[in-house]
Amino acid sequence: MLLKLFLLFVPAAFAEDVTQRQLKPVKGVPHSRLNLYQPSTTDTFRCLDGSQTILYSQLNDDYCDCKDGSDEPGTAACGNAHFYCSNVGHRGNFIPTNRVNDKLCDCCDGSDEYDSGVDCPNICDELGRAARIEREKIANVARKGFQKRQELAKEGQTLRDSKLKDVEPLRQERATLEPERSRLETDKKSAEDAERKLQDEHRNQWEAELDLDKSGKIDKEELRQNLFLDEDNDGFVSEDEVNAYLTIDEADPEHFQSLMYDRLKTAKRNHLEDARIKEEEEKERARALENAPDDDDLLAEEDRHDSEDVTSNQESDDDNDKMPEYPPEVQVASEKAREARRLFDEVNQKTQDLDSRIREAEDFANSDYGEDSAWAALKDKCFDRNVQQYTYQFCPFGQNTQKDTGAYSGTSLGSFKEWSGPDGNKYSKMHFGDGQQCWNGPKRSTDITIECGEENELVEVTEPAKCEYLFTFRTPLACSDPDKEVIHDEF
Amino acid sequence: MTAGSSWFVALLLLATPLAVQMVKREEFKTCEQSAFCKQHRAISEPTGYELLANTISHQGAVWTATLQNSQNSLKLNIIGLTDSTVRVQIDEPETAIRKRYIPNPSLVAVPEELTFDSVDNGAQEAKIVGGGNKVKVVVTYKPFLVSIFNGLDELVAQVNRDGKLKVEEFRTKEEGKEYPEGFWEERFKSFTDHKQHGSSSVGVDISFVNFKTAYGLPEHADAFALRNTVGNTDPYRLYNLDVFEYELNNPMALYVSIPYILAHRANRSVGALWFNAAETWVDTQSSVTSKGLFGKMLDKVTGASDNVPHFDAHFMSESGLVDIFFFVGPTVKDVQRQNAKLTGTTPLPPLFSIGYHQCRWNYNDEQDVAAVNKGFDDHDMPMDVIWLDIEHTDGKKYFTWDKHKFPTPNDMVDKVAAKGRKMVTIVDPHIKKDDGYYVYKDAKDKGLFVKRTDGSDFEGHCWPGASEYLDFWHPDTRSYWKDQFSFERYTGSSSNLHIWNDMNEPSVFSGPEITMDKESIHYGGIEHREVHNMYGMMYTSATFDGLMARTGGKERPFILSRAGFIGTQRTAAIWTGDNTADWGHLEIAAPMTLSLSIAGVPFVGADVGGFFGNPDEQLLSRWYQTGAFQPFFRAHAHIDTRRREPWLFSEQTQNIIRDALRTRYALLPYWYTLFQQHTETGVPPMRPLFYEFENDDTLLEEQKQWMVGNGILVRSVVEKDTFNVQVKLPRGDHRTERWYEWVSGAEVKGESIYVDAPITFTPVYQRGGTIIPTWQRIRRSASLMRDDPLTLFVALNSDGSSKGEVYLDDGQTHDYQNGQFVKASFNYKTESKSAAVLEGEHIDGKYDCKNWIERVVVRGVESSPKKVEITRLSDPVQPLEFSYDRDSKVLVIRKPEALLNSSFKIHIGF
Repeated sequence: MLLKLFLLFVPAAFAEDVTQRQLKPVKGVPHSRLNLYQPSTTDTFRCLDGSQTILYSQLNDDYCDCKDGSDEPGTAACGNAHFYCSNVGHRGNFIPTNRVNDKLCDCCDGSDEYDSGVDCPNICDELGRAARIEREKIANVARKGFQKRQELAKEGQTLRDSKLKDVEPLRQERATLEPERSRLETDKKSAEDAERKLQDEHRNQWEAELDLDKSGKIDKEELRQNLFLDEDNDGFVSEDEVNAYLTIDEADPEHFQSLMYDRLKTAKRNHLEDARIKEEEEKERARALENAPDDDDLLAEEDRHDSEDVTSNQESDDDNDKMPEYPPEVQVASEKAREARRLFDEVNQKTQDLDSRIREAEDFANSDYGEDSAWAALKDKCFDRNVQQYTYQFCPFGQNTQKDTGAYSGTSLGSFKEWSGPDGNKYSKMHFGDGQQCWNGPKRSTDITIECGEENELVEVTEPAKCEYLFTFRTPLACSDPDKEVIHDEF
Repeated sequence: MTAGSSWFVALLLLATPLAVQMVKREEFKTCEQSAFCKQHRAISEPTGYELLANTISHQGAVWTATLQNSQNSLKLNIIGLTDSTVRVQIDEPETAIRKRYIPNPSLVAVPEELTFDSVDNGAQEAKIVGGGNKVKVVVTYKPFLVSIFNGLDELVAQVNRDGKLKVEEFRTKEEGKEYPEGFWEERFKSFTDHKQHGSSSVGVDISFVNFKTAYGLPEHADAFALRNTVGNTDPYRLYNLDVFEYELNNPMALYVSIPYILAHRANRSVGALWFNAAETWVDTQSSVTSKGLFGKMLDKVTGASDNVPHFDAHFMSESGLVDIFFFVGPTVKDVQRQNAKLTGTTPLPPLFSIGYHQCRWNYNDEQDVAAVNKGFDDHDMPMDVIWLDIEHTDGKKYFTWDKHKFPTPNDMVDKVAAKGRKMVTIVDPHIKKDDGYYVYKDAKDKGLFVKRTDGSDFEGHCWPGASEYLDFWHPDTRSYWKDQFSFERYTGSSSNLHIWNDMNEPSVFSGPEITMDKESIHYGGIEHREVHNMYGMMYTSATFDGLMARTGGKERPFILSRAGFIGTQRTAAIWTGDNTADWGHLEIAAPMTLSLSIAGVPFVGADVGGFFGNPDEQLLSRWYQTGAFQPFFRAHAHIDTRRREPWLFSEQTQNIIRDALRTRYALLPYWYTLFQQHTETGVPPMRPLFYEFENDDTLLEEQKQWMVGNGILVRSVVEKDTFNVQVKLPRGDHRTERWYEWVSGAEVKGESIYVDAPITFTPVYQRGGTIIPTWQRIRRSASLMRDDPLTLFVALNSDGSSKGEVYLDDGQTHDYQNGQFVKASFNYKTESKSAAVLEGEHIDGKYDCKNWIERVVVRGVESSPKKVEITRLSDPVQPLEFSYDRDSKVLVIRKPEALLNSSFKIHIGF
């Protein structure tokens, strides 16, 4: 914020002619801005915001006259002004003037405490040296990192290109398949229509059979004539037994088709099946009485029986599908429909596979892997860090987790949502959201600060507020070319 | 709420586990569930005590007699004290099987007695005059009634007017005898309370005669003016409790109990202090008709007939004495002083502590602390203290540090202190049951814990799990505790580290009503029930001794406490506990802190932002604006809430918070002066309006506006989406008061005005006739501003005059007690149409202060001066530059460069 303010003033500084005039030094003002603080011909000073003109002697006289604080760059009198520490040997910088003469040494040259009784030593040389070493160290890391980044960028670009390249043939193949798919779909539809039509006819016919008085409707008395509804096997179909199927007085064809047919069909099949099993059991009993088997035989018999059961179950499933009670012409239609479905499904599956491969490739191509696509290289990669009993995992475009060391599964700390760095530095932060819900709190989320480093490494994990995590990730991907960077020493 | 809808709500809560749950009311007793409260509240017929005239005796300041009814006989003492104070004490007679507990440690000293001026023991009543004819007590024998008169001979209070006096004497259980329900034991939920000496409750009615309005009985999340509980709600309950997510607008007990009532009407006040540390309930009722059971007697003593208003308070305590101090005023500031004389004042706080405090449960580690410290500097916001809640410890063992998160506490504190700031760590009274913990081990070995009835140590659950509780009635506990704060003993501590005493009700998660069993035993066989409400105070006072001892009494301690009692103010500041981030809690902060202030506890505040929940930016903005004008100014947040350091919000909200902080820091010299004045007068810095406008009956219920000192009126916005508020600006007895908008300095006319209050603005006004000292160079922390020049704000009253004071010193040591301070007065007078003078006078202290006056802003000046000059001691007259704004009528005098420790005169010529 402070910096912005001064940047605004810089052009003004250069606009004026600053050539060879001998400039009067003003406390708290850098040389580059001194021209703004020179006395007028009438020995006055005009506040930089133009709001007022005061005596030149009132500049830096420890009393705030200008609304913008510009008359007191060298004292603490104004709350909104800035003091320049020249810090020869290190970097010059501005501090808020409320730090001038407050007994704390803020400038490394000690210039901010000129009247507080505190003796601030000049430590700029020392700091400057240390800073240069540190800068060099950082630059070295950045240099190496940047090199790696360029490689990764190539890798990412290649990956991206190859994905993009793959898309075209896939699309072509997909397009070739389409006419066939659509023809088969039509075939399937007409075969199924034919099947349904025949089935309906069959049902109607059956209804007609049941409709003994040919009234066009089935009533309870008519239904009672069907012995397969005799559930309690007393040889007689009771009113109650019928009521389970016919809840109204009489059923018209529509009611029969929609609500009764399937249930009656099932009842009939079950009835037949029961009769068959009963018959077999009786045969079994008769056989058993004939020759009493030893244990082994018995076991073997059981095995056999089991396998028989399985087969018979399968058979009955098939029965179900084949609907044996349909007459052969209906079964033929069903067979055709089934075949049409199979052919269609086969092709359809192929096109769906193609669609998803195209989508994946497009997603990849459309995802934001940074200015140079270098981040693509980290897709599907994860980085761990252990903090006390927990292992934290950062998966750049996936999901972050926390798990107890040794535990099998972890807690989701959110999935990748967006690059969340500020304008101009978008790729310096990532936001992960919608993680596992916290008890009495929000869904877990993670913000990742990305710094330049030689290796990919998750270097810090904190939880500033419950269930809101902060990761620091070091990676060559955040390194820019240190030799191209401009170092702003002064404004 | 109907049964149907409550069922629906219950269902909703079940369905949404994230919904904020409100206080669990069923955890806490109602009067009906408390055997003694139920019994006392049910008294409908007079208990029939009479005074036996032949038992009267008196000597010096003590007048004694025996009272009797069909149940028992009691001993009455009327004791005359200095400064218009009288004590009415009713105890068991000497034959009692056990001494009843008197909470003497809560007083400053043994009350100073003052021999009665005259005693006239008549046939039906005795007239006792004391306090240099400033107080009169009339004791009527039959039925027994005590009437208290002030120095103007006005009847102000009566005891037992409704005949509710009841004292149950200690008993020994007799086999076969029948006792009322709950007499020997009482059940609540799964807990049984065994009363070793039987039910020993006391109660009596106190009537404040000719008063309709009364205040006090903190702490309740309720209106400032006491309401009628009779027939409406439970009585106000005073029983220090840790109430999770407390509700607003009800008489449930909270963390602090101060059984004190102040009754006020135009120009008259009276105070009554119920001197009892046991659980207490108070039924209150304001009536206008004379319905006392002793109407006739009243008529006789008052000479009045019907329609005498009176405010009645029926005090009921589970144990202790009927023991009442009456402060008869006659004005409200007299009453405050009289109370302060007995129970003490808050010693001058260190300067940093009236700045802004940044707290959170929890700042996680040393890096977090460093980042917060830096954040305030990066955003140019002043801040004085960073707080560490329970997570900083190793397993909630106080005085220890989590080694991973806080490996180098000394370095951490030093780094914060390098910016002139302080840190505060939390130290609670529950001690983790862990033989490896030295405090536990020591206390166990020395027998310093509260005991069960069987003599074993009391045990309960709190933050660390199984814990034991130190017994601060034991002299060895107090000296042991004191030693724990020495820099050698408390690793990581230094004079830059101060202390937060929390959970000192005491909070016992596993106990009845989340506190200690009443049958527990303290040193000397005292039952916990007799002293419960003073546990927190006894605790903070022991901590205070420790902080004093660690620097040999040189530096001023700062302690924040949640629980409190009479006398708490002498050792601790109080905050209103675990509030919630909603508008209701913001609004209730003023009535709650006002209530504490008038009851003698002036260093008070509510958690800015609200402890539970997440405030939105509007609420947070309004809370900072409000908190900046309340005495203790701290932001705090629950561990489950989102981070809310000021820079995490929008640019606009940051600017609002920065403004609020700067406004506070600018006014620090004023606050500091008010706190110093409090030590002399007892008057709290934050005051209800009627303290300053005693004659104005329309201000009695006011609780959205308050005064800071006598010069600043605050009406912060505490309502959601409200950008225009009504402000009442009292015009005084002679309709001559003038008011000026604080920021612009322009005069504001009208008694009840509507003011635009956009989100960036807080309605604050300076009262004409006052001079307010400020610091306009806002630095990173208060201590860095200590030597800075002052700007005086002079607001003229109707006769063109005003006055004010400033007090300054080193801000941190006790050297002021040896004269190392400066006190200066300022007096502005309009002498004629063409001349005014501002006179500065050094009135006391020998502190070599560096502060000079850099600017004088005079508000309400009708025309531009022609010249302004200053004469300083023995210097020649020197002209001063000035500017005058015709629109706002504000005169700014530039750079008088006058020092506080020498006198000066500024002459203004028109």
